[in-house]
Amino acid sequence: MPINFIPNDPLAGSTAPAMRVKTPRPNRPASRAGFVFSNTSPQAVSAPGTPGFLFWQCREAGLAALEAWEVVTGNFLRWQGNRRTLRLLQDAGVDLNAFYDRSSFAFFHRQVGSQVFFSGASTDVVAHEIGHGLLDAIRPDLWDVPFLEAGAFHEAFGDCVAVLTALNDLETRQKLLAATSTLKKKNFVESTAEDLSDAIRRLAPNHNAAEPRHAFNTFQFQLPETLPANGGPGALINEVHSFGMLFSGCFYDLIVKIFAAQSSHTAATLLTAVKAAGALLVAGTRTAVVTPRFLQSVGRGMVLADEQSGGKHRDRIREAFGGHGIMLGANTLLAPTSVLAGQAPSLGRAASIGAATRKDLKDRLGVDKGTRLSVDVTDLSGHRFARVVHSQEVSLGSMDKRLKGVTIAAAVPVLVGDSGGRAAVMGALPEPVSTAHEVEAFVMSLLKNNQIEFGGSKAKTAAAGARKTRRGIAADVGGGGADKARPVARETHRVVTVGGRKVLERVRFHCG
Amino acid sequence: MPKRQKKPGRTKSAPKSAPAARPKVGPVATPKFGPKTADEDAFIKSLVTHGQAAKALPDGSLPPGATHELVEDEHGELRVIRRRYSVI
Repeated sequence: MPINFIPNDPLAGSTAPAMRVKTPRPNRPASRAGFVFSNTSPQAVSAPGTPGFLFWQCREAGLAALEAWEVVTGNFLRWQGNRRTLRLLQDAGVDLNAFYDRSSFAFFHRQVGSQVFFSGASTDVVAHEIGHGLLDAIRPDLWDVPFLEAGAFHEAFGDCVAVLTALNDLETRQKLLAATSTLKKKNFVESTAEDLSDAIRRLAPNHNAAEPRHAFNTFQFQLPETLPANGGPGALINEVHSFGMLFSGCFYDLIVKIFAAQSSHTAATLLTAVKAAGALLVAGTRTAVVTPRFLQSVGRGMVLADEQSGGKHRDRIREAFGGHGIMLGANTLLAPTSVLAGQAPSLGRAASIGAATRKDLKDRLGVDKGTRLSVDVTDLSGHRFARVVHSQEVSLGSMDKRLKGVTIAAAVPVLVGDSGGRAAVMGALPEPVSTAHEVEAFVMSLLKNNQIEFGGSKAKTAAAGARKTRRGIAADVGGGGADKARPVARETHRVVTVGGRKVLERVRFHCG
Repeated sequence: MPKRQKKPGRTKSAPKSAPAARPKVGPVATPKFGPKTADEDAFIKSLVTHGQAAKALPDGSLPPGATHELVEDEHGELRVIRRRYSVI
């Protein structure tokens, strides 16, 4: 007995495939992950708005999402926590939303005016929630990560699974290509949850979610904290669902670029592109390191995954992310990593940073209030930043008794730039412990190679020993007689007293 | 054709007046949190601003729209525990 099925969203529009009569998908094999259904209805061609329609529509959408996932990445065996099944609740009560909570996928209904909206009637919405479940299965550690970008990525992943689910459908691909042969315009596939957004629009016209989310967008990355908390419908704001559009934008653009590179542009080659992009998404997601800049981290994971397969799509991934201001290559040095107090630095002939930025930076660097920060302008590949430098003193007394009371000064630079008009750290923020370790490792190598000139007779002896050793090496490798006669000083550093304090300073460089 | 057949008395969807299903979240042990970072603080602010983080209701459920439960750590600072993901 066939059923009615809407392959995209009840409000996807006239260019999208219409509701179709079809044979429902079979239940999932017992060996793979699946669903427990509830409030089941007899199999029939039921009208939208009826319980029978909603049950079969939601069930079909959930199974379609899992099918699309398996086309991309193979059999899906278990949900998070090694669960084989999760409940699929096509109507769990009154709300304009849908949830995934590790035990179920829950959808709702709500009457707005004369119309009742069912979130479980949208394949987009169901696939989005299933996407949360799929991501939770492969990256359960993301559940509790307290970074906005990790939450935003989860939302984006749901939208990406909705796109994958849509494009796994042949008629959808055909209709999409009829609407836009290059995929480079707004369409029913890149738009998510049109029907639910319409319900929100009717209740709260200015709500951010009153406009469907779009994967085809031109949003540019900036630190989430620098975005407004609220904005009009569809605006990019400091909120997980909205901010996720940056990543779904990168993913959609990657599909576009891979499709553009195909030798022909058909429904079949579109599926090839979708599978390639989907596989990269999954592989990159599996390996992405959790950091506050998680969108970039996943992008890098995708590049690395691609390189393991020959690097065929490396440039396309970088361009797709770069198109949204997310840098994946050496230019990550130029990307904002964390927001600072105060406005963006002034970058005229001379650079200056505000008092609030200066104070915040000192707090983060763990330096004293009175520490001097020098600021100048630096130009990196045409991008101007304020270079803020402070001197971190590292005590060397624990490394060698001859270095008791000796310190060395390490210049620690930080690039400060602009993100949404706010001051922001560009690239990495050096942290004091790592700086100290690096300095200690360097001094240890100087000690091992007798490259430090100490004051006093013992030191002279040590230095002479070093010359002897080096002379010996020179002789062993056939060094000339001049070396034997006038040994070259090998010390590159010496301990001197400056202002009553013993410091280690460089006296020369030498090669070899 | 799916194997699962109609079960008598279970063919209707939830009545339209039924409240949204809310996750039972309490009582749960508050996890041990690490030091609070600026990024975490910014995230919590965003969640609270958008009604996505809230204290659990007396019955242990979360208000509609909330995805995170607000809890206090041992220093009295507000932290969040995720309970679910939402589509909006």
